[in-house]
Amino acid sequence: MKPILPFISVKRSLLLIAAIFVFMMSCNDLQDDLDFSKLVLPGWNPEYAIPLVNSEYAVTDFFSDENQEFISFDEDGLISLIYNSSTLSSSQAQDFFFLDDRFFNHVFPLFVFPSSTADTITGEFSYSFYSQTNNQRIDTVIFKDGAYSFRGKTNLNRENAELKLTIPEIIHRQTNQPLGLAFNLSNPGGQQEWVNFEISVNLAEYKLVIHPELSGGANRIRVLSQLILQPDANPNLSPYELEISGDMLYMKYSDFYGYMGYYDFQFIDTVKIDVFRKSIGGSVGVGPQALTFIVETFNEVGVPITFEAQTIQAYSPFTPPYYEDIYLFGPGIPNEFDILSPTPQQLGQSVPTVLDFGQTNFPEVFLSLAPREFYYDFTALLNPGGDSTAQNVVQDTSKLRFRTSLEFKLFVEIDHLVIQDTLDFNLSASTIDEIDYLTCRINTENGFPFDASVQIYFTDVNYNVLDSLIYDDDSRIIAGGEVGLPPMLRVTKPSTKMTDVTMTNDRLRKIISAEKLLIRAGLSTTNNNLAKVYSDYSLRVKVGAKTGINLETN
Amino acid sequence: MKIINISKGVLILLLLIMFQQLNAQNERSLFFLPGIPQEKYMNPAAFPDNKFYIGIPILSSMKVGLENTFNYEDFFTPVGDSIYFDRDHFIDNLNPETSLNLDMLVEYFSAGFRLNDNYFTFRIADNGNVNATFTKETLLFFLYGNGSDQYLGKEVNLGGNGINFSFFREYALGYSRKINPKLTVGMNMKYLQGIANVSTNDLSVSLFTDSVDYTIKLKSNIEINTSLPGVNGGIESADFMPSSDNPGFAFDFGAEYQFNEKLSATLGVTNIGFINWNANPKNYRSSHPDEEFVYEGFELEEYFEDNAFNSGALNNALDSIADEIGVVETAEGYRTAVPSWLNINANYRFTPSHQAGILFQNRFLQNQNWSTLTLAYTYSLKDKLHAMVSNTFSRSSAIAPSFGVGTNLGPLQIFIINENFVAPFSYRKATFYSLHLTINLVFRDKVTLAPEETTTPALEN
Repeated sequence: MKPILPFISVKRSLLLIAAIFVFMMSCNDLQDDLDFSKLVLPGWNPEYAIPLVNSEYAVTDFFSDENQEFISFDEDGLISLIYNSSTLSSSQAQDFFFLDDRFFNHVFPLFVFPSSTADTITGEFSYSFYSQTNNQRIDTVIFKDGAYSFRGKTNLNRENAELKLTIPEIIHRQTNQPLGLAFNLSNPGGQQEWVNFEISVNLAEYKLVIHPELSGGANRIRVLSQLILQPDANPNLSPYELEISGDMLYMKYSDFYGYMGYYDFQFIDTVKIDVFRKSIGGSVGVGPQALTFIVETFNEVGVPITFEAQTIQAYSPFTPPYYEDIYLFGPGIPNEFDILSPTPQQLGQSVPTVLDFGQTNFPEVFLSLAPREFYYDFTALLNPGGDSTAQNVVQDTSKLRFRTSLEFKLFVEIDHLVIQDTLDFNLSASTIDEIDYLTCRINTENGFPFDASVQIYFTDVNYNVLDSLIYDDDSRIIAGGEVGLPPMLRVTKPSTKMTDVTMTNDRLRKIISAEKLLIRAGLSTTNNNLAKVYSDYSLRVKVGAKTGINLETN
Repeated sequence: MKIINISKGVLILLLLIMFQQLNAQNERSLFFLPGIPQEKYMNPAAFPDNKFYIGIPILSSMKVGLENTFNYEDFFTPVGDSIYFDRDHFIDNLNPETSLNLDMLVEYFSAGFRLNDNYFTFRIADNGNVNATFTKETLLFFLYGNGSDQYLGKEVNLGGNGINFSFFREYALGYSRKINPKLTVGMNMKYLQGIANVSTNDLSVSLFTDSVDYTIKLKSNIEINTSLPGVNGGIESADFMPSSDNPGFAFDFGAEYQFNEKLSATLGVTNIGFINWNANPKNYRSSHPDEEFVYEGFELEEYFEDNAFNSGALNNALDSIADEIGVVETAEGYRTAVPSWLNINANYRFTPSHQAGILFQNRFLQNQNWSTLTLAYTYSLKDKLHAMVSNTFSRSSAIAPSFGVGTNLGPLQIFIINENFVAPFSYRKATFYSLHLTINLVFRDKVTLAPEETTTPALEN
């Protein structure tokens, strides 16, 4: 049979078969060549860089929102941190100085002689309005409330009898007349064995004015009586008896003049020094007049008052000796001081006293402790000398308010103040295999006069350190600006610093399992010298990341 | 991390470019193999020598192939049991522009008939093509990364890149006419229906990374258009049917001149046209073209939340860059041009059985023109068998031998064309390869030939 393709010989057919064989072999090679599990990328990885952080901080940015109130500036822009205590207040006078209820009783024997005309019998007795315990003395009391009651009885058997009582120390505030009372003691036909009488007066309209030379002694109230008898035909059964009793209850005053006696109040507080809230060590020296302890009182109690501190202490939980006593005037000198009080003419006014303690040992304590807080326990002593001749004036609402503040001008000399903070940390591990290395580049431009070193520890949940960010001994990533001459000590030239921190894949694997970041920063003033912090300082931080991609794992 | 994803993406893209060696415009051989009716679609003036033909449905013409500017060895070096991808080796072999051109054709129906001096054709076919160009600078950038010493502190221009992927159906009507015994002219009119498209109008990015703090300064001018099936829900096979929402039109025209019995020449331009993409259009454009965006990082506080390190902030940083680039998405219809070809061909027939040919072909693509020169020799055994060998010279390869074999077994016509047929044997060095199979039923006039008469009709002078 004639071949369809006659020009193709057997030899050519063999060549064709050989070609097909070569083709099939090459297909096997192709399969191998496309097996990219065998791919090797010798000695190179793409490197990508990206900026991550670009932040600029002014002084105020280093304080939380709730702490912004602590910051103030003077006319040069020098920053002060003012840590105020709470404003503590005493009780109102009406809550510690009371008008106690008073009771009195007096019995007059009555000897009546027969008379064809009207007869008047007078009498007088007095009672103590206030005990003289503690040498208290009542000069004047303006009543705001109170019930003044009189009760009595007599066995007079007169057809027409009247009793008039006058209390000279109780004076009507409007008429300036003493309190006068009248009772009808008539006993027609002598039919009653006893004639009773009773009356109660609201003291709200009265004041109490005691003149000891007239009333028969300090704090005494006189009761003057007048018994007026009309002649009648009733038998004279004299001697008769007249009993007068009474009480003064529920008395409240609006104003008090006299001498209240001794009282005291506690003013206890703890003031947080937020700037050292995260500090765990180091010292902070301060320049002259950089630390001022100020006490302010606002006194409405017209009484001599002395403040006395049992304890004023600064505290740091990390730096021995942990507690340091604060002296306002110097070691061995009691922390005592007097404050101003309102005079009688200033009754009702709040008289301020501002005491600026610029010579305390706070600077020494800051240097040794960098305290996080200080505690005080002040007692306000009212009438501390016990001079009962003193003239006290108070109103029922009078009170004493007290507060302290610690003003810390940022005029400092810091030697490696260590600050520590802890953050939760969770980094996705999904791409860790693909990172050959990661370099964090930190660029800082620092207008503050502070050097800062930073170390970050990566820890497990129990704070066991897995790795640290910086292996280099020099972890100073922020260099302090150059400081000019006194007295301004202002930064004249910001400092720049670039720090590269490279983490290999091995390190990243350790870091990826971390759950906490322990951030520890050391802060020092430039060259450990004094410097001032002004409001126009700023710190710019830029962080960029460069990573080498491990393509072989992709 | 997105950086890693970008890197992965680039590598995958590079590998895709490598492995998409499936197709190309292997139509060159049609100019040198006589009697194939499908020549009409490369040479619009072609006048088939049959009175009627019909393509076997699906099998009538299938073509797949690619032409790249690179080969496997440009990327990889097999050593022992490993495949090395050496960056320096790859870079040394990179052209200023790296191009990928992938074509695919499936002819579902094809037919034609002669009526006196006129020949009419009709076909339905699906076309797919991918044309992508990446500049050397772009590839270097992704291989080294912006954090490398090569790019830190330097501005890099990543412009000049382009991608155009189109998949469409073509309904073609062809007409050829013998004006006189020497001159034949012809044209094809094509109605197109788009199926899917991804194309870039502009893909320009210039980037500067500060060497000190890694601040990124970026300018971009991006316009990417897509019309993809199934983007609004799950993809179903029905989504890949041609859409009347994506209409297009194209035409071919050409002329063939027979100087004498031995020398002929053709000039043709094909695929001048466009497709309007209106189905599921999406446009991604720079909101602020060429406006410089400077990214210096976030505030430090952004990385912490509730006293904890916020690891998501890193992704936010990368998202922020993407946001700042400012690409806005719209849904406007758009138009793409169909890649056009210019063919200039001359054949010289020494004897009835021996023919030499030359073809200059240029393909007009976005961001690239792809020019090749092909020299061919064809042996014809009457009209029973045609065998062709050729070599194509391109900017990526000087040696790309091809062969084509066709036979007419009665009315059954089978042609196979394999361009750069050595590629399977030396695929590591191959930059292009294609395979084209044609099976037609061809009906000719009954002609009684003298023993030495050729299949070529005698010329009338």
